Amino acid sequence: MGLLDKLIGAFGLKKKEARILVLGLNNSGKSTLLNQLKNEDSKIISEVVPTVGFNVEKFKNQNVGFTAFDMSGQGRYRELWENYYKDCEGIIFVIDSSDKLRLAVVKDELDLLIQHPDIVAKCIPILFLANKKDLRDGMSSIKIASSLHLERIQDKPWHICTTNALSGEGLQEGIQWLTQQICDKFK
Amino acid sequence: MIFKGSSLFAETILPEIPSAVTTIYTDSNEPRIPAIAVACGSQVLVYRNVRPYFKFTLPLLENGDTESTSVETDIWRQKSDTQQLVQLLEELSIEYGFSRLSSPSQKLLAMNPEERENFLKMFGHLQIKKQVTITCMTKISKMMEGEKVVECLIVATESSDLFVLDPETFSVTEQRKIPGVVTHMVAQGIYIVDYFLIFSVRCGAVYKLKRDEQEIKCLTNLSSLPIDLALDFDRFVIINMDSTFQSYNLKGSKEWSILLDGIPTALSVMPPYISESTFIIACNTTKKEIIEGVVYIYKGTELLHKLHVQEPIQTFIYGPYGFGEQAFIFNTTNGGLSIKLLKRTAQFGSGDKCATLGSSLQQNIKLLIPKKSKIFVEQTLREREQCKNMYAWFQKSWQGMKILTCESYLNALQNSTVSDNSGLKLTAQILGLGPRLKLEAQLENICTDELMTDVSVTFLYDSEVYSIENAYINIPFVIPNYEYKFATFINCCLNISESHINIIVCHKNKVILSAIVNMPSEINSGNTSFVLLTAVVPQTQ
Ligand SMILES: Nc1nc2c(ncn2[C@@H]2O[C@H](COP(=O)(O)OP(=O)(O)OP(=O)(O)O)[C@@H](O)[C@H]2O)c(=O)[nH]1
Ligand SMILES: [Mg+2]
Repeated sequence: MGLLDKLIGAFGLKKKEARILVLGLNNSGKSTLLNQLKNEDSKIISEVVPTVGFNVEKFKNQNVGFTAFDMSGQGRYRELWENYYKDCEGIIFVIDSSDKLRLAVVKDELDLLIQHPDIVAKCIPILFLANKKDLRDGMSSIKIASSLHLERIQDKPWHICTTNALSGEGLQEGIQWLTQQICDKFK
Repeated sequence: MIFKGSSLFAETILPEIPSAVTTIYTDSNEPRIPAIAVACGSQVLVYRNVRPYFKFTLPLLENGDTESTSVETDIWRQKSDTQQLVQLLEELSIEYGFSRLSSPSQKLLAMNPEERENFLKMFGHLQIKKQVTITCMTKISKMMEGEKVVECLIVATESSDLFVLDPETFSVTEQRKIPGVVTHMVAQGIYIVDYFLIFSVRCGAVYKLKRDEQEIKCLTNLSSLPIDLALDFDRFVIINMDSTFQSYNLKGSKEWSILLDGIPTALSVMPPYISESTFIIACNTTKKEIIEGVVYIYKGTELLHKLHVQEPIQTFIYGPYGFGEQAFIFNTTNGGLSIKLLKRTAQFGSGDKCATLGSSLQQNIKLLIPKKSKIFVEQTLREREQCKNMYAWFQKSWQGMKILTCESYLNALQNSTVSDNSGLKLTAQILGLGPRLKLEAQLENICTDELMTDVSVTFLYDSEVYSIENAYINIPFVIPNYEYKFATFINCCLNISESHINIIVCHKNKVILSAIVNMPSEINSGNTSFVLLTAVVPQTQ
């Protein structure tokens, strides 16, 4: 890398690219959330349908271009997730905060994720989104964090915030944090 | 009550105690919303979107039962006094069977005599109608295979009838008489193409009913009453009151039977795309006076997993819940409702019979049977041809062996002293000058607390030299610390220089003590020799 490149990088002028994974159980709102992040013109107006396999979406935040893998959260597609662990620079983990019953399943999947050899070795930021905060019987982000034992993740930066994927509320805060983490790593 | 996730979603009051409930797709409209069918008394109520949708009322009984019903109606109409009514109804119940009577009559007969008067005052004016009561309900897809297709309901009643209800036309499409009152029933196939029904009746028999076949085949008579029945592709599995878990093929022959630890309450089969031939059984076992529930997961006959639940389990269901997560939902006798979800990464083993736990172990012991060698074949041939000779030889050597053992036993007795672990003391002396001698002996029990019974004394001697007058002396019992004296005369026939006699003390058939008495060498010389012998064995107590 030349001196010039370094300079440009340091001033945040160069366009950066980051590949991120969007994980979470089915119906947690991953696709809805990504749809919210996209440009106004490529947005789907109608109701999102359950994802089959996975979708690749692109969006920009500040000067980082994100390539997001929107994985399907259905039981039978969850084993696909680990194939993408190797080359990703960040993870968004979406949780349906109104689904108390499946919080145990969420914990199970999270355990599998952070114990996976491809993830253990890496220091990548994980953003937890407690989605559907508009619903009446939703759990607070503190409750979710303690039920999932998030405090045990000590070798990776993580952050949790509540969102509403339908209105986009709370989403910017989370993405801002993720962008910051990824930029810090570039330097 | 309808639950969504882990919280209560809706609550509806039913007119009667329900006997069965199931979900059913009633039409082919999109989106696919299932309805809930509840069997209550003689009706099947169907709810959609938590609102009553429609109800089937089973037709009233015809054929054979009309006679008893009309007689019954007459009896009630006459309205004689209570005593007479009860008596007439009792006669009727003997004639036609209690289960054929209408429910008011049944109630009246079962009630305390004092309460009857009141009951009649309140309900005597009502018309007598024979009600059919649904005992069991199941569903079957109507026209095609697959998920979320239109289904038909199959209901069985207390009057041994079977009805097929079509929710699209809201009608009864088929009615059949069956050989008993169904307790459990499973169906497989497609209603308009081909299907079969397996059901167990109250007396413990299992039947199979096929479409287009008039005959209803009896598959098996169970050893004990069934608690639950499930179908697993080409076999059906059953849990019984005698704590067995049995599997039968569809022809009714038993494949295996496992004894469960506890009383089973419910049974379910996992869907084949999760794991094949995997059964879940809930059992209640009593441990230290506390009843606790255990859930067993079997793959075939192999026990895969055991799950303990603090309270006794009343029943459970297994299947996809909510967003397709495999859920195990059970309720306990104290009214608790719990949901357990299956891990996505759960492993179900290979179904091999190795690495098993508990009851299936005894089936895995492999016998070491060597291959048939040439020698083995020759030997069997020889055995077949010369069986007589071989048998004779065997008998001969058997006798030979018997003689040999007797000889060595005798030898041992003669040459050594036996002393078993009873504290007996034997003293003997020879008196006299000969040829007639007197043998005097004292037997003493030196145990302080044990009474010896059935003791006898006998002698071992050379019969050419001596003859003993009292060769067998019986001693009924030997009291502790008391010297029991006995004596016998010995005649000396030959003059022999050196000889001896063995005194043997037996207890029942066992020699417990023996002693050697040396005989005087020159009997005629008149010497008297004294022999003092003791055989004392330390007490074992
Ligand atoms: N009320 C509410 N509903 C939401 C929210 N986010 C998503 N949903 C709804 O949740 C449903 C599922 O959303 P999806 O985005 O398809 O979920 P997904 O995680 O992509 O599901 P899969 O693709 O099957 O893994 C949709 O009906 C959304 O409208 C939210 O914040 N609030
Ligand atoms: Mg999706």
